[in-house]
Amino acid sequence: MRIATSSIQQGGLATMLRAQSELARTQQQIATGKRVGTAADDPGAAVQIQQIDRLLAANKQYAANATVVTNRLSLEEQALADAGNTIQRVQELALQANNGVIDFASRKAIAVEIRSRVDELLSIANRQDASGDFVFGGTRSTGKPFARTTANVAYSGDSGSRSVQVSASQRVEDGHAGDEVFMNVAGGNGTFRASAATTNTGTGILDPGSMTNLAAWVPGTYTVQFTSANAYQVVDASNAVIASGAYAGGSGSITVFGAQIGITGDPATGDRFTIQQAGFQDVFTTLDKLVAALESSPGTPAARAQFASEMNTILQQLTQTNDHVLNVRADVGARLSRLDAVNSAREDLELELNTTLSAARDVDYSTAITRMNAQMVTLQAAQQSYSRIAGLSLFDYL
Amino acid sequence: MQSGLSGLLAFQRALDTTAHNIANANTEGYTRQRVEFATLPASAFSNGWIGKGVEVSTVRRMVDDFLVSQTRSSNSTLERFSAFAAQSERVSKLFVDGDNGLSGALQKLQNAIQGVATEPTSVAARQVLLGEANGVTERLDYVDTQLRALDTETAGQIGIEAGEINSIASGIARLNKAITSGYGATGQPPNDLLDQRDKLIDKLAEKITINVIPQDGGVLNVFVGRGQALVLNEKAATLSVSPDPYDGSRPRLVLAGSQGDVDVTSAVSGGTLGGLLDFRSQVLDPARNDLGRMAAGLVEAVNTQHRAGVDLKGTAGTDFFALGPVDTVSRSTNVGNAQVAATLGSASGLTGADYELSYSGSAWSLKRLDSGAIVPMTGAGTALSPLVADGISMVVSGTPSAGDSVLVRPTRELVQGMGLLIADATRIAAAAPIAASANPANTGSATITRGEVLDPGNAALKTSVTLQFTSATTYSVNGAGSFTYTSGQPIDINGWRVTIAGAPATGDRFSVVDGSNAAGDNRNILAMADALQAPRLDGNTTSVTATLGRLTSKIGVATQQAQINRDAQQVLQDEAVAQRQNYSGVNLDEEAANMLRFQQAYQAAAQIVRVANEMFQALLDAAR
Repeated sequence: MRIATSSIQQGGLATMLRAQSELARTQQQIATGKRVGTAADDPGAAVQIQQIDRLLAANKQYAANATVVTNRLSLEEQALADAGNTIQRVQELALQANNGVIDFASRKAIAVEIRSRVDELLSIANRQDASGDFVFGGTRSTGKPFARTTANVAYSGDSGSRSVQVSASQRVEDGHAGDEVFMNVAGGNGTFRASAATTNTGTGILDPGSMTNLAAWVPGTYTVQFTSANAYQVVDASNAVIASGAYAGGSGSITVFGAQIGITGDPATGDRFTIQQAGFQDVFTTLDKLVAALESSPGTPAARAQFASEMNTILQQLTQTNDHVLNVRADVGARLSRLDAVNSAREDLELELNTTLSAARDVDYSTAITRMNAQMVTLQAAQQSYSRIAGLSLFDYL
Repeated sequence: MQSGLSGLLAFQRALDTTAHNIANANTEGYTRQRVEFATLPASAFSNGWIGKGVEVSTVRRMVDDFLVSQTRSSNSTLERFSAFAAQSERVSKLFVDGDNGLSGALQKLQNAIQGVATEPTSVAARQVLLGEANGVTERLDYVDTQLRALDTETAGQIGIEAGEINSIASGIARLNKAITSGYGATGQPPNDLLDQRDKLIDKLAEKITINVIPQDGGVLNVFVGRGQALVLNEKAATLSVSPDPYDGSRPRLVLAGSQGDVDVTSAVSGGTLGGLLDFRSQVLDPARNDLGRMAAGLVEAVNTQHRAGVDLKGTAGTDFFALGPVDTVSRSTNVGNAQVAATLGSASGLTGADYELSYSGSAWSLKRLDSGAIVPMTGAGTALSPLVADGISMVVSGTPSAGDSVLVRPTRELVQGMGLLIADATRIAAAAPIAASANPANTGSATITRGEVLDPGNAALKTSVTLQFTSATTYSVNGAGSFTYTSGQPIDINGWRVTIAGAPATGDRFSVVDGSNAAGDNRNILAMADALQAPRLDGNTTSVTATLGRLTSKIGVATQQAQINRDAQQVLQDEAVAQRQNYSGVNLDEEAANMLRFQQAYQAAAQIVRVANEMFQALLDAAR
């Protein structure tokens, strides 16, 4: 076949240029460590890389979110622990004050300490985080949520809490609203609460009792009325008698729809004890009641019985309050452990994403270097053969 | 003597031609020439025909028309892919990954939204959100501006190419004339002129796909597009760039020739010009439109949710981003005075295509320009009942006349007009205006969601509402009415929605109140994070980020395809050029051999002359 001299030159040149551009590409891949530079290099991988980059960035944000939530929950847990300690200290003081032998002056001294504990609790409830937000303000976290009014402590926050995204699919609430923690504490034993009428003239002392059969409980207000010193009847809200019984020996227990209360001492005819739906009693009201009780000085036997009944009710409420705070704390603990699980799942995901990203984007050095060597050999061969062949000419021999 | 002399002359010509070949071995477009020898007519004698020597019958140009046209058509294809790939690569680079890319900017916005959701009271976090929102706007704007610049540049290049085509075409026409007269003068082919013309035609084929038809007298006619004549005999038509009747910045190609002005924009193909036109319609326009569509989805998601919230001061949220207008251009040749004002409807209906709205004399019809399909519209075109189709609504004012049309480009200008409308970080509406809660004294186990806003414009939105259960399955609203309760079913009142689930007890109460005083509320901004990820494009099937991914891969595939085609075509082209060169090119060794051959023949002929001379001398001596 006939070949033009220019074909030999151009053919050789084209081969060399192509080998050079391939070599340059390989060299660039090796130098940058990346296999995919623009979308055109590998459109599928480019989109995958874009997605993974995004997921990794999102993950970083979720990690930052989780840190914030962990800090907030830890802060709340600390506050709840402090509140729990305060309530327990008040419980101890109340038990100490409830001792029959303690005199009025000592009780008043105890009341003084409890007052300071109430202030302490109030300041815990108004605690702020590092950025000045109130921990227990709900979502109205920029205003002081608890304030003392003449009658009680009022809550001005709301019942909201923030959900924070901690992974692509999970949100964790970063706290509890103040009303849930300090205000909505179930009264009595959680199901019902019992109280002695202030008009009682006997010395019957109320033990606020417990729920013996929750299934039997019919919500409502029931009054135990002593028809004589040793007989009582139970009437419901519409004054219909629903039960009656005898009371003897200075102590007895009365059960109404599974709610059991105890009475000791000698109630007089007409004395009344009420059993009603538990409702709520906030922490501060409970403590205020305790202070008020301790600062009273019962003179008559009836008043002393009244005091004893009140102290029993308050002690039950304190236990209830303590349990309530513990429950909230347990919830915080559960969230924190959930965060741990979420964090480790996220770290696993991140590792996996990085592996996939590297597979999609990064150069496999052994392959790339092998390829580069092969391309260098090709280029060298092309250069050598070209310089030999292009030098041949018949004119040299004329 | 006569024969020897003819040999001398012929071999001298042959040596001349060999010298010409050697001299032009490296001349681009040169075709090797070969001297064709023929015997001179013999003289008749009684004892036979005596030969009278040799003559040069012609100097032949070694050309194979098939190989020539093969090179040209393969070159047209190669140049088309090259131009396409070169421009596409630049678009492709705008969509690379990394923190600085569009994808990274979108993710940063998403993260900043999450940041505000985590710390809604932090002005710093809000400031970051404003910064990142601005970042997305700037990034979108940057990409759009680059695409625009590329558009302008492509338009300029198209003009330049058209100009070069014109000068080449007139060169061919001139050569046609010279060649005709060259043939006429001698009856022999003017080889070097033919080479020059072939070279020009080769160059033309680089720019545009051509069809070459030979005519008597050595004339070549050149046709482009669908048979439009560019060079006819000794006349060249002018390919001119004239403004688009809709969009002056968009050149159209018009061929002004003997057939009058013909718009050949969609008819021309191949070559650099075809590659540029294809790039514009296949990569650039879709990329710009998709970018706009993405911006529309993003802005719709953020704005809708932002309006549903309240800011740090309790004021209702306003639009977060501004977006450019829907572009409408009335055709410059319209007779009526109708104006069309178009606005965006729902981003989910947007297609990324451009449309032509035309008036038939009695009704408007909408044609999708990429597919040519007629898109059904609803409405009458009035402000109360706009024409609605594919996510756009159009209001017509003025009086159209039959045949008038308006170009509607829903997504083209959106990004350019994009901007941030919120400058004050406290104006970010992170909180929800309402708060639903269950009465703590409820005895049932039903729970209520915190509530979401469906219609931020509802006047009674923040009015307190109490839902009280009158039985386990019915509830009253503010003490009135009796509604059936189904667990988990949304309850919509006053423009908000709450969902109660579980088993409520008789007397249980749930209340929805004004929640706008809650600086620490993050519900609305959290909903915004969800809204951004929700599929809201392509009929609510694709999210904003997925659209970006799709656009990236679309451009990547188009570019990669063009590169692969270019590289494959390069091999074919090299092959075709080599074949043509192998036939028409000069081989110096061959010329060396020819040189020896003709030199020897010349010397031999000279010997004949010498012998004839001696014979003549001998005869003279004999007669002396």
